Amino acid sequence: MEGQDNSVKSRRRFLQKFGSLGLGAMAVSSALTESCSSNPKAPGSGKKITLLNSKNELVEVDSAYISTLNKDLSPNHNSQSRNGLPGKKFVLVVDLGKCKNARKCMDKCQAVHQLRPDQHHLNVLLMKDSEHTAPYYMPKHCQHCDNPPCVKVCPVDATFKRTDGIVLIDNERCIGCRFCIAACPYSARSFNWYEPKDAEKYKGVAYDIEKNVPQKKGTVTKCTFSADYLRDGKLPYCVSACPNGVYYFGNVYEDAVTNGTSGETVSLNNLLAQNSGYRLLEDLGTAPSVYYLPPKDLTLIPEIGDTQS
Amino acid sequence: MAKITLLISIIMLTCIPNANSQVTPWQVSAEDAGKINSIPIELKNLGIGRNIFTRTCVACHGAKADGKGLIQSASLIDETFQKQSDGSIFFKINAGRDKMPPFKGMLKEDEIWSVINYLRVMVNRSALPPAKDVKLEVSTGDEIKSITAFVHSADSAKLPFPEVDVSFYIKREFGLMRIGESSNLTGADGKVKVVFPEKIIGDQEGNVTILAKVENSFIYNDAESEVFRKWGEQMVTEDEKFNQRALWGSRDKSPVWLLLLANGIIVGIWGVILYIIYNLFRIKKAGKIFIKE
Repeated sequence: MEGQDNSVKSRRRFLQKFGSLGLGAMAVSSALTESCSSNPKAPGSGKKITLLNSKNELVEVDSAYISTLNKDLSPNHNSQSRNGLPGKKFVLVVDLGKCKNARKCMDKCQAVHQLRPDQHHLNVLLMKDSEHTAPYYMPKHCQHCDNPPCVKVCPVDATFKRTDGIVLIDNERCIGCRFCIAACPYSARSFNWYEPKDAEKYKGVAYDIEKNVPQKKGTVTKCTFSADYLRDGKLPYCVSACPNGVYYFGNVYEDAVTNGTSGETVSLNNLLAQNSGYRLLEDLGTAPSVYYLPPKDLTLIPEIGDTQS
Repeated sequence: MAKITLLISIIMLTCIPNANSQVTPWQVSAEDAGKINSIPIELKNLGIGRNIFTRTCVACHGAKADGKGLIQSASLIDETFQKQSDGSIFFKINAGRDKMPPFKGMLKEDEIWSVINYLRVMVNRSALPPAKDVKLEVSTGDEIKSITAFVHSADSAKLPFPEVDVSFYIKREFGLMRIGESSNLTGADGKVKVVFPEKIIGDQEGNVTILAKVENSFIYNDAESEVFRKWGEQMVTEDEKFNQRALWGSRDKSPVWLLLLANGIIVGIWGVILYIIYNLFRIKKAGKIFIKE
């Protein structure tokens, strides 16, 4: 099903891109089907056809020597993006005691995901729970809930949950209704009200669901747990950008999380038990995949009015 | 030459406070600065220092300690830094300032001194004797799950090396999880044994990869060896939970009650409309018959 979709899309894109060459392209495609049916190793038929190569040059090739190399031109893995990575369920642990508002995680995230400064997949917030408690900084990602309210309300099946715990959004399906933004109790999603940052630079880049890039005006964007990096076995962008050792990331099934800064790997259960880990808004029953360790032993207590927004 | 040095030092003196005008200056008392390093610079202590450095300092100060880590920080290899007394550096690591966290609670005094020794050696590597090559052999005991590492010389004589610190790890998704003690020194026979911990989860069959490493030592070059054993618990995945019918499921996994309700409404309403149309036709037909009569 999806394979067909892709071929239709890429053909359409091809025609759009070379609108002026449309007729020529049609001639080429008919020649291609002809050549495919004949034996590709046959001696030159003498019938020359004109093709546009990747260097943007028009070249003449004998039709007998043409064979299709790669039918799926998109470099990404969109066809598998709806299935989780097998045997894995990802978890993030945020040690609030170590966050010093360096904001390196945010900078990296916004650079990678083509976000404007006011758009956040991840935001470091200055918190103060009550009058007499000390303030602290809290990085807040999408919680990648196991019972995600945002996915429940999507009318077009654009946002979905994978078996590895990641909640993603497909901007090619999103209609911009923003029901998911309203449903999310963690305010984890943001909307592309304007043309995204560096829209010119990303023109023509194939859409990657797992990276959610290029962004599209009028669609919702959210934290992806760096699903594109996880596919390669790397730690997420934010986790490895933190200089203060705030983030632990790992596989729940393996009961192990790795600190992105020191590279130290520890048992998830022990880490949570020894530091009284908790999740945000547990009583809503959303079952988040992000755990927090309380802001204990802060080496730098922030002052209210100290925000860098 | 002296003039140029003087000029540069004047520029440095005037620039540094300006550039870091928001940073509170270090205030190291003479007493703190004069504190004596209690750990001698010995090859085995340097290994401890390097271990702590890679774990706690590299993130900000960089692997080369040149201040180019994940954030811009002070270079620990330039002259201004190295000119300070050990006591002064100790005070700074201990007390911290702004982005430099205080390591008072995190590191023991001896560990801080070891790091300082390592920083001293960093700028003067060539003074150290060359490290020896070692080989590491790993064997396992199956009755009580244990791993034994045998450290010996790289040549065919296989001379055992005593007092070598071997680190044992279990391979995990994004890194290596340490098992055994924080320091596992080989005995006179060049061997050291650790017990495989309980409640370690392997893959779906319970297989785990165990690694033994000689690392961060100044006496020996790095060496490693690994074994693959079915010692762990079997991994239990919850894929079924995510493939069941739920409100957050994709279109083909919507709950049955929702399908029944939504489709029921559609069928009900269309049924009424079609029934009305059918009746309208019947009325029209009846009308024609009535007119004929």
